[in-house]
Amino acid sequence: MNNEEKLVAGLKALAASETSGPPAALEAALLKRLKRKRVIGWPLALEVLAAAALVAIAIFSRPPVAASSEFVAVPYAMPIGPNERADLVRVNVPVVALEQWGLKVSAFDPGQRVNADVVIGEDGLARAVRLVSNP
Amino acid sequence: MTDPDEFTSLYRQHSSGIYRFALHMSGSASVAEEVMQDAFITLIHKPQSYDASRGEVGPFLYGVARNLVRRHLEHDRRQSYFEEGEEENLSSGADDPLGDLTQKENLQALRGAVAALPPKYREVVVLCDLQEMSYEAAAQAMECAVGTVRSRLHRARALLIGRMQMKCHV
Repeated sequence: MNNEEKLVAGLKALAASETSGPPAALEAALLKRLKRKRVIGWPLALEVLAAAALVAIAIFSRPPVAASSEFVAVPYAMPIGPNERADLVRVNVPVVALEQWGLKVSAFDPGQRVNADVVIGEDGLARAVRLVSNP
Repeated sequence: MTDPDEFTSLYRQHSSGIYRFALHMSGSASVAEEVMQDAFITLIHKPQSYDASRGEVGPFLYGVARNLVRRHLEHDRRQSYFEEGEEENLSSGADDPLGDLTQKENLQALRGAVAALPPKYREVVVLCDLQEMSYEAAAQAMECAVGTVRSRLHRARALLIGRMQMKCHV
């Protein structure tokens, strides 16, 4: 046996010795997520559309605001895919929450609430955020 | 991906392997759990990102996991996941460090040596040697040519042999 063969045998033994795996509950959680996506029906779809309309009305009925920063990707979030639908939602959040998402807003009081635009992916998770300031 | 039975079958076939791949790459059980979960969530919510003409769904999932792990490693590049002392010494009196790597204490040393490899070499060892993935499947997961897999694996094994021999003489 040459050194490489000995190493490969050792790596095989290492692989065979490993029994760790993901928690059993994850399978059920993912399956539930799949079924929820699968059975989404008209009533829920209409609710989502109504909520989106309300958000749109809230955004467009407000005085214009100027964006004061570029979008910053939320840490560990998947990037928006080329064919993925995304929603833009304006929220009013504490400065400290934006800092946790990687935005530098040191000019504000950490306890102060500010407006921010959040990009939401198809899975409902935040993907990117930008700070918005009133003119 | 909408069929629960198909999903369950895929999950049971690949989840443990992907989890262990992410664990070897990150050294963190919580990161491994998150990466494995996110890889399957990608399949649920972005099924169009899997192109069957480019290969099997297994290597695709490993590829997604690989990108997620890389993002974690880049984000935490100042933080060492691998605690000092993890690489235990080989059993005392081992004249040939590669003589019997199947011994329990030497497996621990080998695990540490794999964890200390640079990521691009570590991933190919984990995929091809630990997960026993074919070169073609590993190439799909790593988004590179089969020849690159071969050359990186050759280099990675040489690095591992060197490290194990060095540990014996320390």
